Amino acid sequence: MKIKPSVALNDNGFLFDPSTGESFTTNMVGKEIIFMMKQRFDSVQIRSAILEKYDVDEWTLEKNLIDFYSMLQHFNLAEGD
Amino acid sequence: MKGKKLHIAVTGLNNTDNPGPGVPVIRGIRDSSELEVKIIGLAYENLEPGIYMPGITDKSYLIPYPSSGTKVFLNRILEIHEKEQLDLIIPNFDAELFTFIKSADLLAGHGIQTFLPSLEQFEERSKAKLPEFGKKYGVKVPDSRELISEKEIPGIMEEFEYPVLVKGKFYDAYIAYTPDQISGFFHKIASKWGLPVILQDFIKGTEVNVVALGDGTGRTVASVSMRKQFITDKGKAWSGITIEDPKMTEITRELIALTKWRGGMELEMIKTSSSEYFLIEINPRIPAWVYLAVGAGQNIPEALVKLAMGMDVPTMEHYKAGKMFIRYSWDMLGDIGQFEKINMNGEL
Repeated sequence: MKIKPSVALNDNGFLFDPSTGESFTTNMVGKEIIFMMKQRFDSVQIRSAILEKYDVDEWTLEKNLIDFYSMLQHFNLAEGD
Repeated sequence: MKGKKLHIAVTGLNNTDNPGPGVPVIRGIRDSSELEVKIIGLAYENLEPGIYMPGITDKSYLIPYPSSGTKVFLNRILEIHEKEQLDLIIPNFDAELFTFIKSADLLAGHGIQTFLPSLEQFEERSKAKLPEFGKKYGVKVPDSRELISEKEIPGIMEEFEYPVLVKGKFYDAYIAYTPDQISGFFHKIASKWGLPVILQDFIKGTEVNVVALGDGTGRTVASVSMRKQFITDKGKAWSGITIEDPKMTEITRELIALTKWRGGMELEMIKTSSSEYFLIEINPRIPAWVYLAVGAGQNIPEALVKLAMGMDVPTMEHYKAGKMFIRYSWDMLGDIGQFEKINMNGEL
């Protein structure tokens, strides 16, 4: 999945989609994930990076990542598989 | 570089909760670094805020409504012209445009320029003719019918599904969920704006608008898209944000190229969840939110003045997405002496 290139993300986790005028907020972990997506990290690389940095088990992370990715798609912020 | 001081008359000074475009048009013109202007406000009512707002008009005059007759109306304009030597009039109300378009040659004969669509352009985009317009120019529009009498409602509603929009020919739109509501809105709108009243399919989606300027040759001089963020109970944008939507720009450019639109215009569209665009209305003038376009990098009022005065205006290709406007109310204090002057002398 790729984040839409036009979506802007700032250091506070504030997202703005200039094509729709919609804005969103995300927490710091969400911001890191989107930042990695913008850096073209794939889902395996993102999962590894989060597992390494945070005290979270694989199952919980997987469940939350699926939720997060589906939310990005729902709000039309990401496209692709 | 400033040239000759231009004397520009502007209507639509009613900066109320249903604002006219006069004040933002004037703000745009005053923001210009190239134009030197004297702004003459033309007001229909003695309490239009733009008359009293500091730094907006240099002089204001009361004028009669066009419904009082073209002769009476034009006599007053020419009377003001004698005092102010007008170079240009920018009308900002739908209801006065017909009179100004019909009188454009006469005004030009007195040295007063306008920059308006032709009568044909003005009439073919009217709300009542929107389905034909959509077919002619290949844009999706919601199905709509003219309603002349209340008795037509049951027959017409066999072709529509609830909810429907009930709209006035110039202003006002209400969502109706029952025949009784249609009937109520029909009478309310007809008594205010006359017949026909328009019944239109309600398209669910996001309201997005474009303010644009055509130079009359088919060229889109400027075009800025906006999404309404907050809408008042009168359906007016109280807040909006510029967006970068190539499809909206493409629709706008195509329409202006095909119609050879001359003047300012506002395209009101609905973007559905499946990214389809329905054109629901074309307003044949600059809208009240035009100052957002100025802030985003396209000074449309300034460009309109230059085009009207025969100056070259390059095509404006870019603007900043994410620029917002938020309207607010502010209690401005005036003096009874101002009110007396505008009432007794018809000018301030």
